[in-house]
Amino acid sequence: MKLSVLASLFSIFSLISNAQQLQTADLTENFALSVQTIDDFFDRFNLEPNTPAFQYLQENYPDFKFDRKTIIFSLFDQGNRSLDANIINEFATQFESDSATKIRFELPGWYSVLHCLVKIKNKLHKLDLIMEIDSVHLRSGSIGYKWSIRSVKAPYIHTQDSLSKKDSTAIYKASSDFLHPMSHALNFLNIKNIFRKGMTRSYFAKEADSPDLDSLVSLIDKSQLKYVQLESVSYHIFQLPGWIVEVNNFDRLTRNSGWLISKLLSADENEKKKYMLSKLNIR
Amino acid sequence: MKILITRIAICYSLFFLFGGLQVKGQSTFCNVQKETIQEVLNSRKGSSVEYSENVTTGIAFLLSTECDTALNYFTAALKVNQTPSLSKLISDMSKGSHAASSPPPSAAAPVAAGSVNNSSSDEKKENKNTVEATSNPPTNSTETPSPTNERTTSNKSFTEEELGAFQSKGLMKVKKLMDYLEVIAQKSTPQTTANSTIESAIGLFDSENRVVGVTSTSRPGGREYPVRTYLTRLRMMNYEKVVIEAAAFTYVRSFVQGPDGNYYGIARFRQSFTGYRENKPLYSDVTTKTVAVVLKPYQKAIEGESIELWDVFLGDISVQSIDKGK
Repeated sequence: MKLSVLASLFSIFSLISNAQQLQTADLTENFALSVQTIDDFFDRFNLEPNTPAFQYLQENYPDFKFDRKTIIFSLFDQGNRSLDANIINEFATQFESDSATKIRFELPGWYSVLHCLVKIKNKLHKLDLIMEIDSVHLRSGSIGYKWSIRSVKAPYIHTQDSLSKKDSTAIYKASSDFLHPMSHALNFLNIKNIFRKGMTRSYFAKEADSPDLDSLVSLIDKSQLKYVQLESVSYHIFQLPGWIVEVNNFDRLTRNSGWLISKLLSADENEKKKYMLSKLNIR
Repeated sequence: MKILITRIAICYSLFFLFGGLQVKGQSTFCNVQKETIQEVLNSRKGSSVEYSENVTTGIAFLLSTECDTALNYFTAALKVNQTPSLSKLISDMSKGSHAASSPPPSAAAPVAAGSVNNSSSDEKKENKNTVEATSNPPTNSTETPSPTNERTTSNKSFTEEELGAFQSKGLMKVKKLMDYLEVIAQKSTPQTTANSTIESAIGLFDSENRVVGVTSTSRPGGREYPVRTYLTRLRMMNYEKVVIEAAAFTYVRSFVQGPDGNYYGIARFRQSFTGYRENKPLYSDVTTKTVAVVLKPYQKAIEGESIELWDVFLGDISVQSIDKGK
């Protein structure tokens, strides 16, 4: 079954990718239906009623009835021909019920990959920083959240000089430096802060234990690695039983735009672990 | 008519310099005289967009005395067009000590040759509906409470209703910023009003160190401008007329508490922009702007006692250019 056939199920969302509409793009509607951030993606997947896009639809299309399955269909990149429509249908059916698993922003099991460009010995290299949401208990009894570094992935990083024992056992510095929990919505504008000499370790996640991270710290502290720019961001979600979901940003003037599923893999827990190790360098 | 428009534009440029710079009380910036700056601004007339972009951004940094960053832009502009005034400006700068602070590592890269269409014209916003600056006087920025600079872990927790109220207030501030941007960019706004509006806009942020990050789908990476530089650059855009249309939908994300006890949210909105010169559309694009909204404490003295109050402030801004019309 082709994705285009499934599109007929999308109701209002099936209009979304109509190329003819690009010429008379409705600035408001395209924007309202675009998936704004990864947490907006989660809200839509979970069919949270207060999601701004749903409120927009209810106000402007009061007769339009949507269910979770329809919304899940709309979260796929409709321009991606490598996505198998049968698998998409299986996925959407599994989570169509309101009681089916939901994706939680504050829980572990999903990661952001920051595809960075860095400079080493005056040459440009790619470097992936794997980030996760970390929780912090506050004095008030409530919980605060921040983005932290879980791992690093670059083909050259393990070949660098390893740290001295003193370096590798360095105590975490209690720091007021952190990436706030909405950094992702600002395209990690503040990511350069972690590449400052002597600062990187304070951005580590509680569970960060990769020796490659020590190598990264060493390179930064020796001023051998300089941050250049963030090229793109992707998200990898492992919270859904039986599935790995990859989400990327599709910035375009259509209604099927924003943060959408670009890859969907059926995977059991073992396969998820293998994927995490090979793609994200997480043990 | 063309001549008239050109003269009007020159008058505005002159008015900007000799009105705007007087506010700062300086006659030189990074060792460059005001007259030289004006000559370089004038050299944009009839020049390529790439040259004009680099000169405009360079001067915005120059006026913020970020000399090294400004020099990068002027050097890039010189590669496009070797005007005598720009050569003189660069020569004057190199005679100076460049005592100003260096830019952050990723600060603002000049527009590269061949990538002119990717340039960040996101800053060139104005409203379709011309804003009457005098009928929309900016609020006095001194009325805005200043947050504490230190990051503290607060004991304060808020109910959902309280957070909702702060969220509404944050959205009002974002909308106020949008209004200010329109006033600043509009060439019909008197310079003195534009200057005070820039100050009012900066007063919405919790720190002048907040940055505006600009990225484009067609050019990976991005550039950053400190808020004041961004606003100054916006004022200096070399268009005689700009038209802005804004989407009626604004995405607002509720607050999430950070490890410092402050609360972080965002507001996102979309705008289309068209810049005109000599009555012809010279540049157009569509951008999405994301503004961080921070709920944090500040201290206020009441009857000799310092009391902690909470308010919402604007933080960093991300500008994503989605579509280039021209």
